[in-house]
Amino acid sequence: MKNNLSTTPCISPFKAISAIIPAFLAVTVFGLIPALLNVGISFTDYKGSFNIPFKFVGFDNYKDFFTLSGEEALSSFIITIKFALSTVFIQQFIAIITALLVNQKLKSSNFFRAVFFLPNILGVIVIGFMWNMMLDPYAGPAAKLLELFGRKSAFLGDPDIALWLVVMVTIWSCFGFAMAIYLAGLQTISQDYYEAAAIDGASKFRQAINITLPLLRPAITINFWISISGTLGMFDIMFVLTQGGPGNATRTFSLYFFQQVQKLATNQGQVAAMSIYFFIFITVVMLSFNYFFRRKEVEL
Amino acid sequence: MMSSNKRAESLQKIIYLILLMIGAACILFPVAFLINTALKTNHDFINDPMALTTNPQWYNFVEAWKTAKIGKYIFNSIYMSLLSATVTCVISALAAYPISRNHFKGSQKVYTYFLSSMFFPGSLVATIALIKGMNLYNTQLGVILLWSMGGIALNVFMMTGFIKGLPRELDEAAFIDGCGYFRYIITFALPLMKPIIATVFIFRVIGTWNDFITAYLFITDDAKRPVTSGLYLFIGQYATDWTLMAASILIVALPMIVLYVFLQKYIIAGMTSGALKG
Repeated sequence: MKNNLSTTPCISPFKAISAIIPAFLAVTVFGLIPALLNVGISFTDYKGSFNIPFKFVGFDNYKDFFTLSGEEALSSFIITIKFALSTVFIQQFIAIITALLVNQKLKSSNFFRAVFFLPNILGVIVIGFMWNMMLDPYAGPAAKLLELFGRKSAFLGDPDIALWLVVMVTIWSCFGFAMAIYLAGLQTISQDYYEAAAIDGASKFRQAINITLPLLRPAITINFWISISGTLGMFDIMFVLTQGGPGNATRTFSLYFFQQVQKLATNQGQVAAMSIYFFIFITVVMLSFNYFFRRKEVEL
Repeated sequence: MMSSNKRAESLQKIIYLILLMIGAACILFPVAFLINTALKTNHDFINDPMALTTNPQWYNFVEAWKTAKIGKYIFNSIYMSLLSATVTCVISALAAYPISRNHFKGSQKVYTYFLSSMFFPGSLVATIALIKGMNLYNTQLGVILLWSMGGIALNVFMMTGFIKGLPRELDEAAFIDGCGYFRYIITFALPLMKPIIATVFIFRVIGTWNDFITAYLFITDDAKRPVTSGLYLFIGQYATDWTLMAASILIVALPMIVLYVFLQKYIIAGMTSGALKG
């Protein structure tokens, strides 16, 4: 790469460098510095303002995390795992099915693609309000539907089902994005493969398993990557739907973290340490994901 | 033989269509319910939330506009969102060109630095500390900076991928004609990059318009809030007036829906292209 530096005389490296300086500053000030600052803060008892005196406390925040907030963190951690696992798998399943359906040569394909993608351009406030209304225990359509069967439910107020409703709303709002990526992947698969397979007498099902699935692998990998990293860190949808309740039934780890961030006067060093723990966890998950999928690709 | 095959095929198509329609109904029903509610009187809504509105109350929107101070919030949103999308596009485009054309030694190292910055372990604790340290807490400028600078690495990545697809011969021809470097970028490179700049611009406008967390956390003054956090706090106060809330939520969603109806193809391509190049 290095030796194909352009030799045209009027390119001055000095000017080329000055063109990237704004972006370099942006990445440094809003990317590198907060990361270093976060690590730095995690070793102090910083209380949300540099005007309040704070001191270096070594690894105390990291040790205290387990004794002070261990139980709450653990419960929110388990909720995060439940939420992420169920959202990722159901969402990818629905996204692949809809992508396959939309990919059929129907006149209305574009319309359906547009409809399924629509929730992605609605903000979390709109989605949150809409579904709070849909799931309102008195006036909402979901309650009216249950009424027909003579049943009642508190929906988002019921700790047993609240998390699953949040999963449903998340899938509702995000699966169109995954579908669009699967669709782009499907459209790169040449029709020739299917014709050849059909001549050999392979059934539609065999074609799907032996042609579509392997060739869709890059799209599957990228979709799972986006979905796993996205759901593990998600909290805004719970924040607007349930505030983490009822009780702590829908409080994911990131929401727990977000609630701690808002308690500005408390020890924010501990919150920073918590974010470092979570960062390590996500890194391990994503690295093992990479490892697992790379190996699978070699096997193929 | 042929005709039975054809019949099976059209039957299959009908099944596909029915499945797709069920899916579309699941997506559209909540939106339709929101619109229906926004057009009812509160009295009608409480009597029968499910009934279709017979006498659309367009006045609800006027009332929402007044009561929820939406006019002011919308103005803030438009200004902050457009400004930050513009800043992002200018800064990213300036950086993407020299990087994708290797115009200086070490440009690939800078690119690697940009890409890895997407995985730096920053957190809201540090971002708040940084913004407070810069004296930008509770200012619109602070949120505009967070909005525009936060996405730069990803946007440089999207643009670099696009420029690499443009033939190199074009820029060499421009250089042979002889021109200054910045004049060259502005008069020659930027026009070529129009499609990707438009994509990133729309992507950023949608992202910032819908952003709630940053706006909620970094602006505490009501007068400075954009429409998302402004409305969130308004809703907290008027939690019983369903029709008014539905109307105001619809006002927030409408600009994006209109944009989507007209630019649907570009929006889907723009929002997924970052992922597809990865």
